[in-house]
Amino acid sequence: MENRIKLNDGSFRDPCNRVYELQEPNAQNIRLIRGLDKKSLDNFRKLSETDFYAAFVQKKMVVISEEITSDKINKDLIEKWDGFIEHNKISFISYPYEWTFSMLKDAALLHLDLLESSLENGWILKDATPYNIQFQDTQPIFIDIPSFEPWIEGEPWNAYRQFCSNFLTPLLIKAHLNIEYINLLRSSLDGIPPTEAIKFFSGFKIFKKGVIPYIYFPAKIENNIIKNERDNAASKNRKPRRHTKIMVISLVQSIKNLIRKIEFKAEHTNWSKYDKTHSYSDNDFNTKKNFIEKHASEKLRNQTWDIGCNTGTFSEICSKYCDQVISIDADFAAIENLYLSEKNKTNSNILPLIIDISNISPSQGFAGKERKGFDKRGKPDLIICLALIHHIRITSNIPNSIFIKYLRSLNSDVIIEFVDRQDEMVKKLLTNKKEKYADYNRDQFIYEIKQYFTIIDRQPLKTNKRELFFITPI
Amino acid sequence: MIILVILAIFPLPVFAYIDPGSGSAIVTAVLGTIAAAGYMVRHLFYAIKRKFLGNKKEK
Repeated sequence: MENRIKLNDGSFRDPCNRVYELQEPNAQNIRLIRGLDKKSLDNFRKLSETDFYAAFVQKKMVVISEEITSDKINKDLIEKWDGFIEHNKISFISYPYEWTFSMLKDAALLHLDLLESSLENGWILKDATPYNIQFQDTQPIFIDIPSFEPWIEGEPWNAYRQFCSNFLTPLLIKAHLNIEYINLLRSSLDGIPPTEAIKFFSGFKIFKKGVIPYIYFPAKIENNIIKNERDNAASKNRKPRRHTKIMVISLVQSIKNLIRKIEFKAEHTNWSKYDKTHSYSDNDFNTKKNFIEKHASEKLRNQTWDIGCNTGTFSEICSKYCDQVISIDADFAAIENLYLSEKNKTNSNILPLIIDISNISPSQGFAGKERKGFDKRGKPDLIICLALIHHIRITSNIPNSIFIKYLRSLNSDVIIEFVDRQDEMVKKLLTNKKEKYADYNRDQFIYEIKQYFTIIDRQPLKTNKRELFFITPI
Repeated sequence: MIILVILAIFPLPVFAYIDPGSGSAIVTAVLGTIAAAGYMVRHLFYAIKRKFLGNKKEK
């Protein structure tokens, strides 16, 4: 029986190599194989012998990749490519429009560190897209190994514009103007070009750090070119100016210094200080933690999703009993704080992402397949939805029955907390609403649950104003 | 910094017929030159400082 081979949907732009997902017959796991043409194969072999690349591997800055023999690979693939490498898999794929400020900043610094070190050793990275970086828990890792190429004397940093549009500009507009780059990057998979970015910086704002050299100046050049090339003037073929190594390296260093300095102060939102401002008594909070711990520890799980994770208190409990926790919340500041605190722990297995469950990242890109929708990237075996359902129903206007049906489609055990109408937080949500949400009550909630799940355990909290349910799919 | 401000304020008619792709090459050439100049100045400064301080130590 032949291996099942599937072309990775996101890998098609580079003609020199392609990524495949290979599943051997009778094997559980899927291997990530990359077919390389002769030039890419030669580059990889040369790269693997260098000291600087070995240092990257040792520091876990690049994904572990090994050349493999073609004996286990399908014949038609062997005919197409000159060689194959296998990559270690990242446990959960994420995209820059799900990353918080510090995650994007750390990804940018990783890229520049790799680039600077490569240049010092006569190599360069031919691309500068954040889709070449993934997070393994809270560590950014570079995954597009064929992007490393020998640097040709005199060649400029061709990926400079791509780097600025995808990394630097989003960071600058968030740091200086507090504009949500997440919304922009989700639609614009090529980042924010300087001609767009300049529109945000009016008047004296252009004097903010980094704006004149990296947004205003490139925008001016590009707009000039567009103005002159717009009609039918033929494009002139110009020889690019010669760039010395010092020019390229020092430009990379200048941008790195800028990025190191730019900061975003996460404001206090409703959720950013949740662990200090929540409405539970100490007793209730402990009861809640114990209930979560009890059911999370019942068996070792692969992947837990904490939907509406706030500051990650309950993610941390679950993280002890599973391979990975995906902690998601729509609140930028909460995820930023969670990332910063997890980053400093050794062996953290939590991946924090900015995801709004009422509007998750869609499948998109070419043919709607290039970038996967959030719930297509992994299979959770435990989902926790704590202090969430009242927001789903009252703020987002999603009926409980539909939300519960969606949870069921994820085929996982769930710990869900019902927040009763008598709870002060629900009263707050209902205060200025015309609609009274008559269907939002405990009996109706339990009825909806029982259509799709079996209730294994229950725990009332806050004098029965809230109740936890541990449920398993029918 | 001043050079950048001047370059930024005055239009550049000499680039009238360049295709958009090479816009990036112009930007990296200018920024790279300025960054390299800064890099050289810094290295020169530290070299002089070392030489000067080095002499002091010998004394």
